[in-house]
Amino acid sequence: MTTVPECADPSAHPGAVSGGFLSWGSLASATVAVLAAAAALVVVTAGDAWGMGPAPQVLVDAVVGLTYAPIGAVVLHGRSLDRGTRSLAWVLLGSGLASALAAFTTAVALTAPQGPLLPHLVQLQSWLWVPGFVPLLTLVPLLYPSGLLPGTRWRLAFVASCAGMVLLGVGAALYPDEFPGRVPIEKPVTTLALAQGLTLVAAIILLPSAVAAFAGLFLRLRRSTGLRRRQVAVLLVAVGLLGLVTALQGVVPSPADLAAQALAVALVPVAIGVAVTRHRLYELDTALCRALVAASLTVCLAGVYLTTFAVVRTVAPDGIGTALAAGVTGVLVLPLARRLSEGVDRMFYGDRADPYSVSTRLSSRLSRSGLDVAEIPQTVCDAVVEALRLGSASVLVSLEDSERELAASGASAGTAERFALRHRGDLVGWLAVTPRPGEVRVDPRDAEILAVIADQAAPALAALQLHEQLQRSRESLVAAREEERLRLRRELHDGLGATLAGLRLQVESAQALVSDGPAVRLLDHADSGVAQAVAEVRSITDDLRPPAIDELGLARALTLLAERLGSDRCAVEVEICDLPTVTPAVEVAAYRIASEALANAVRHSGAGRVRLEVGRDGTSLHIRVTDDGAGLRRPSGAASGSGIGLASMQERAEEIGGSFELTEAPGGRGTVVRAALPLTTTRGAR
Amino acid sequence: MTTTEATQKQTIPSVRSSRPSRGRRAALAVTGFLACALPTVFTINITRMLLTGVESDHQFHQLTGQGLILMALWLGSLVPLLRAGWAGRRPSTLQGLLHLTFMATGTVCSVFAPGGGAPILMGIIVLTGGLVWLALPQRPRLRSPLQLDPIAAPLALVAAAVFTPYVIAQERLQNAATGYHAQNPHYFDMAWMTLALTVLCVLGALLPAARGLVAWLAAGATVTGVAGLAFGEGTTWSLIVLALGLATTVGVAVGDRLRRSR
Repeated sequence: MTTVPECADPSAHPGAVSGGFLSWGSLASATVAVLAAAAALVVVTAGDAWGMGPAPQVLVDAVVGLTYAPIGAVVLHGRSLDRGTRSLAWVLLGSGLASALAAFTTAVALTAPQGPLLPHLVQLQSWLWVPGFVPLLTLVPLLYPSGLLPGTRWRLAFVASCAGMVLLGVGAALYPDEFPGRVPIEKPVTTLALAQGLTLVAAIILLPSAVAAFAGLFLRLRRSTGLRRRQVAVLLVAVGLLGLVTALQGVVPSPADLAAQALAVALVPVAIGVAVTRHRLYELDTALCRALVAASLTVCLAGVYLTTFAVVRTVAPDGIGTALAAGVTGVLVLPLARRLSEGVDRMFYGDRADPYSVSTRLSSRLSRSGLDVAEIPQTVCDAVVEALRLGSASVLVSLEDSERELAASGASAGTAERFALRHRGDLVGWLAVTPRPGEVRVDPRDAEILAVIADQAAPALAALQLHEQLQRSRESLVAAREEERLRLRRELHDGLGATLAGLRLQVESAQALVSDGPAVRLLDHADSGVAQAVAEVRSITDDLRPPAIDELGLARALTLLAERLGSDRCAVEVEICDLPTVTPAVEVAAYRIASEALANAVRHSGAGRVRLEVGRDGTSLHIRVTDDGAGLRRPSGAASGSGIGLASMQERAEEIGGSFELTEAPGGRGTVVRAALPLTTTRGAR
Repeated sequence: MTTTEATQKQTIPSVRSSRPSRGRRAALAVTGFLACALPTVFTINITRMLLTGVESDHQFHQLTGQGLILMALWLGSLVPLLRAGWAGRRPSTLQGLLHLTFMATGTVCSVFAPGGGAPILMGIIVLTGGLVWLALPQRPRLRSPLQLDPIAAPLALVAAAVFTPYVIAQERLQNAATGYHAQNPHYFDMAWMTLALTVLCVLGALLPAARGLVAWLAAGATVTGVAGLAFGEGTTWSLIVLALGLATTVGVAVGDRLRRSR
């Protein structure tokens, strides 16, 4: 039985823009960019033109085209983007497209023989690199990561960047330089004076714009914290490196300078990718998944086609090879798409596509021999977080009037959705999960698996629920027992004890008045009998409860106990905080545990110094006894501690819902006894 | 004193391990010696040749197909099997597939390019390798569920697209070789190495239990690309192979990070 609450529409993000046409437009632009960039590389490689002057620049432009355009398209396919982020995505996409076209036109101009279109192609390639490259140093750092400027004053830098790019583009287009291709090519339209003037003005404008953009990014870093700071930091490093490499152009010998630039250029989208995937920028899981499947499938199909073609070509003519390769590729499209989609789904969302695997793995964990029933909730939580990669999971058990969290796993963030754990129709608890970071609700496919997991875990939780109820009953019984003992002690001490003491006084008075021999003997007998009765009553009351607690209070009683156990050989130190009023059961348990632990340490550990600390937090009273003795690995022959004593301490803590722990002190010198006792119990608070 | 709250921890070993008998260890030692003797001698000789500059016009082959990468594949597939067998452990699926791929790809290449004593070499390798498998106390489990890795799969198929024409070309060159190259089958070795790296990456992309095999392509292609550039083995091809190696390295790292960060 699953309960999936209604969630807000994910598209209802403030400022969200729906853009079906624009989305498809971005996809088409990215495809054109990738194809153009890849074609440029193929053209230069096939034309054996890598040794020619402008060829290395093709590499830089192609890298921009191959990386920025897809990143821009993926970001634009995010589910809840605001206008600012879309603006940045369009800048990335535009840069990628312009660079890819610049790479392609340059590659064609490099390798093509003489033709009427070539001069126009050269004119085009001479300015296309400007909108392809310059935004990486100006607009991208200015707008990253929100797509909004750091402040209103930064509009000037933005406008200057745009104006500078226009001027530089026009200047570069009109510059009358000859393109050094296989055939030298001249541009059809050139004006040296205008080109020089525009280029100079553009340089004067763009240089401070780039500095301002970098400063803006630095300012964002200083203003931001946490996740946003990490998102900005990764880009700051990449842009800084790109700026440095660009500034060193001409200083570093070619082609090393261009290779370094290509690497630095590639680092910027890598940085954005890191921010997107690792630091959850733009919450692009769905878009990333689709992009990864599409890219992976495309490359796989190309690989299958080329491999098949290469193999078939050795034994058959080219035509058959092409047809056969296309046929094999076509046959593999659907199965490959399905498998890759499952693989990406598994990578992002764990095993939700394979419920059988999740169920089998959980069953195998639950049926592991030696697994305590108390560990089952934690096992279930761990399995849910590991297998489905959900944000967090916790198991809660339903009690009569409340719920109690038994186990939790993962980092809890966002609203948890609950799945009922039912056993034989009765609600025994809840499996609460939070969606993956970046998701607004638990996906229905996750919900189906969680329902199966809930069914598997419910019987174990039912057993735990019974155990919890038993424990609560035990705590109530112990609390009632201790209260009854306290009452009985008071009754015996104040009632029967006082009566016997009075009786004894009367007998003693009668002894003083009577001189007759037999009467004196009778009164002596009566006096000794009453004295024995008083002693027995005292013994009974002392056994019911440590008398020091009632006479001095818990804190003073513990201090006296420590003083009594201390000696020249072993100093006992005490530190007790201001203790609250606690139930009789907790008082007795605290006193008995401290007394047993101190006695053990003083008598058996060979310690020279023992320390008792009693403190509290909001829910528990903490007792800590440390010593500097032999520790847990006591040499053979040394007097052994009381195993019964340790068991008794543990039992006393657990019977009132507390915990007990015995560990070795850091460094192996001495032992540490810790007990935590609940300050509030189910019943019987005094 | 003892910890009274100690939780009962029961570790269930993922790999059953029991000390093998003396006879089994002796058999492993003998078969291991037989199987490792040849690659060890080859490795020492090739390393000596590389360091001393003997046949310096063959340094590319000495570093890659004829030499160190192939020897790394050879010994790298044998030693883990022998170690696991000696310790009484069952070798992993990855280790078993690595050795089988090494032998199978070599056999296929020797069938199509039988010159230069390749079939005899493969006969020795398969025979000694088979003896090692017989001597193992527990053989690797080779059946494994199939789960396509969306990052390794395209890399494997790009490797196939890049290396398949190269393998075919090397086989043709070997068959057409005369003189020194007919006696010393460098081309066969190159075809064998590249085919083995490709098949290993394909297996790594297909089987979760063998994902680690992709690393062989990452390392092998990177070294081959660098060696090609360093020793003048066709700039374009070397750059492509280097790019493939680097892309595989980055792809493997990114895939791991992506899985761990989610």
